[in-house]
Amino acid sequence: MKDVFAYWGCGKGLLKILHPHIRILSGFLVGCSCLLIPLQSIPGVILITIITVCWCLLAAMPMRMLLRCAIASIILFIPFFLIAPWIATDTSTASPMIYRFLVSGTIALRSTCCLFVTASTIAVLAIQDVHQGIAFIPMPRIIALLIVQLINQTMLLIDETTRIISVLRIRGASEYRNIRLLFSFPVVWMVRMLFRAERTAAAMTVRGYGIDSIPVEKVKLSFADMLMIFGTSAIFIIVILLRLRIFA
Amino acid sequence: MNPVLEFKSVSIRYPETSKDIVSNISFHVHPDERVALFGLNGSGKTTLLLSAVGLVPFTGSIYIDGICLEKNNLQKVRERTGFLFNVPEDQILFPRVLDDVAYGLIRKGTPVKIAHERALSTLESLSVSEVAESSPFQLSHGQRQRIAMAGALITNPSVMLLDEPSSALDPPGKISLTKTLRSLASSILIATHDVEFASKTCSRFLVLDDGGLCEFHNCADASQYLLGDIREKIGDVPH
Repeated sequence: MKDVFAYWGCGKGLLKILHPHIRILSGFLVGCSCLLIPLQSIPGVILITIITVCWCLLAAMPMRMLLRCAIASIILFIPFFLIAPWIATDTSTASPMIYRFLVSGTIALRSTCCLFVTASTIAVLAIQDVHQGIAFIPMPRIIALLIVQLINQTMLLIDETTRIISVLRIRGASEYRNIRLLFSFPVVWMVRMLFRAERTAAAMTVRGYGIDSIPVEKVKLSFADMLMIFGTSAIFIIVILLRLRIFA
Repeated sequence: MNPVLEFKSVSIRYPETSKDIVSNISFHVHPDERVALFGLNGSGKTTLLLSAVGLVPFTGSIYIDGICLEKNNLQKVRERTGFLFNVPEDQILFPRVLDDVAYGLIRKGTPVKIAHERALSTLESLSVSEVAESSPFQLSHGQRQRIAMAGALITNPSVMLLDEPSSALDPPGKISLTKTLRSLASSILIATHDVEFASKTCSRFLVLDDGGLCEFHNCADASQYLLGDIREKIGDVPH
């Protein structure tokens, strides 16, 4: 589970020269584009593939991480094909089975692309960049606060869970006769999380953590920053236009 | 000289218990004074510290910087207090060390750049400036403790309430913490089991025992008293 920490900022690509908030915004725009690209036609499929591949190249995730993403997408999205026989079809469809598999295929492709884009964006963001990045994005501070805490507390939970797992291992939970130890895991985990939540809330109260905790900051953008934000915005706008069939 | 922290006839009882954890205790901490608070496990040291920032209900009065701790001025009191929790990761609220340490100043309106510079020098004083750009999750327990400490120190609060600040520190860490605490202008109340650290850092020693409080001006006396308390509870102490 410690790998989750290693995952943040593991990319070595060109995207790393950008300011953290540009990396976050561009990743968001590329991710949204992947979500919205119409995949009913071959050009749509080609476009989503090109965007994803380019983003992954720009992030330059280590091969090990890319492989893990590929395995995760196979495990998560191949099952979409299992539901294909139950997908409703139009009665006028010439070959309903092919149509059904195409629908499953587009869902799997879109999900895989989104997963790779998200993973690549995380790979070019060290966890410590997140706060800095979010501070520069003009958005309601309450949302910024929620995002920062969501990431911070998730990391804390992973840290805590890793420790509980280590304890279970050391105390022999992996042995068959001690298997009952495994059943205690959810209880121990839940209780520890509740206590931790209580203590963190107390710390937040004492430290005065609130809506003004993340001040809005201004930054001078470099040429590369501007190029990236214009590029990804252009892709996003084109995708919206494709979606609205403006070019049809 | 008016005390910066003052407890007047304070009693604390949790709703689910029938006995006071702390019963009718009074003490004060003068400006620039460093006071150690000893006591066995469960004697109420942490509870006492938490009560000083209004996180635990109590009867009696607590004054910080001359302000009586009440519901309507909790914020004012907390702004004058630096608090170190005994589990440091609980109070680290940002994914970058520098942001977390600088937070206290940023909250008070200090420009981010200046706050970061101050944070860096605070981290330097605790010998952890090299981790300023790191994520707290990549650090050891001792480093996290120093970071949490830096976060509490940075605003130069009138009162510092430290719960086991040396528990995860190595000997060099303890020495640099002692030096830092001795150089501060704040009044400090330290709940600890570390007699050696307390003897080097503090000038007055309080022992919490069975809900009551005993005061000593010498660490050896406080330690002797504690040993007597231990003997009473668990028998002779092996050498």
